[in-house]
Amino acid sequence: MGLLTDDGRPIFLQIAEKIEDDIIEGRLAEESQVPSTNQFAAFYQINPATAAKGVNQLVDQEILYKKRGIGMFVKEGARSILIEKRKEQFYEQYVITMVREAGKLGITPQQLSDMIQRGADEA
Amino acid sequence: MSRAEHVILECHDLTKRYRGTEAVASATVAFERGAIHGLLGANGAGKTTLLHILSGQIYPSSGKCLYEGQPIHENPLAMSQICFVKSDERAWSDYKIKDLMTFCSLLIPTWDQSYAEQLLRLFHLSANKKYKNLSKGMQSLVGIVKGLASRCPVVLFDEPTLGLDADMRETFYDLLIRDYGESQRTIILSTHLIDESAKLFQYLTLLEHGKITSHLETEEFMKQAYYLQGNSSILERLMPDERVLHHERLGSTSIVVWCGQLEEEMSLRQQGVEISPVPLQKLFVYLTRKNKRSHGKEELPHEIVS
Repeated sequence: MGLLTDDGRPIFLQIAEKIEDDIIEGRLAEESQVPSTNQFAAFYQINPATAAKGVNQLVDQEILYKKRGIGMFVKEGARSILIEKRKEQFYEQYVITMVREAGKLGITPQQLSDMIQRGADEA
Repeated sequence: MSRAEHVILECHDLTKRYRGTEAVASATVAFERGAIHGLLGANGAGKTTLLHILSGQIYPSSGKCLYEGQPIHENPLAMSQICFVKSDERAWSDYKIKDLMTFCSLLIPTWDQSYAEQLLRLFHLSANKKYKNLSKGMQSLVGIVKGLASRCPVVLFDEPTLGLDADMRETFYDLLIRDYGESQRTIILSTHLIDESAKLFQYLTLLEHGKITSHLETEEFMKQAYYLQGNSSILERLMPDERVLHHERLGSTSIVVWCGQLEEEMSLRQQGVEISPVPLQKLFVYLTRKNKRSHGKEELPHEIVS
């Protein structure tokens, strides 16, 4: 789970991302139950409607599904869908940002690529 | 959902005059059912007066005020469904807490006495203490007990956290969320502690000089404005523009608070301008300052700022 960040980003998006992270990193297995809206609300001290909006966004994306009268569950195949989605975001979020910062510092694309190789060797 | 199902409490063109000044001036707003609403406004904006009228306990000079489509004033049924928690309950001064709880149980049909007792214990409030001998924070807690144990479909809290320490404020937020999660009642809460309570609110209502200047879902409200941070030579090209709420410059870097549509977002980003959200409390400050300026009030003189 972890804490919400107070950076002014919509809270419902942060809730959706927390659930996504939990699925990607295996803390929430496929076909397992997701905490209820009220549990999210109490845990993060947020409006339950906001928590519901975050959860519903993942229902719309077919990551979660509702079992009538029981609650929300992680859909089979959700993890691989999320990983694909995150790969697409990875380019925008990390690569572009990194290249821009490198440009500011005068690091050439070749130097950058060497650094990535070095990082991969060390990690 | 139809409008009638969606709205529980509304006022139309509501005005309240006190000796020639308008505390509330043609306020029109509809509060959505089953939501927690934040009522924001500077000191003297008319928050307390508006809540007081909505509770049915004082009359407006003109305008309409409806609960479930029915007039609130002189309507005992509507008034029994709305619990108003004042920040300053003067009428309670000479009574002991246990007497106050008895009054509540007689006046509020949905009163939950056992929940009230549970809350009094949680807050370490002893039933035999007189209200006027309590600290401001403890008086606020008695109000919170009234509001939560009322179990009313509509609860109006006027500055419920005045004088409360951080620990008790957190406890209040937790209780409010839990209660709301179970009951889906409608809550309208006014506060000056904007940042810490922002995440409680589904809707925000902004009151300025007695007028409702906006009523939006919290996310929509926040989306109105951004910080633009970058090279002054780029950002100063955006000015003058009435969408600039605030502007600061340090050396060759500028920060601009932009309120409204931003057509040039892509090109600004490409020029290295960082675009980020404005925290609610800051946004509130910029909006109220802008409004004060348009009301002809002075900003802080430079000598005081520096």
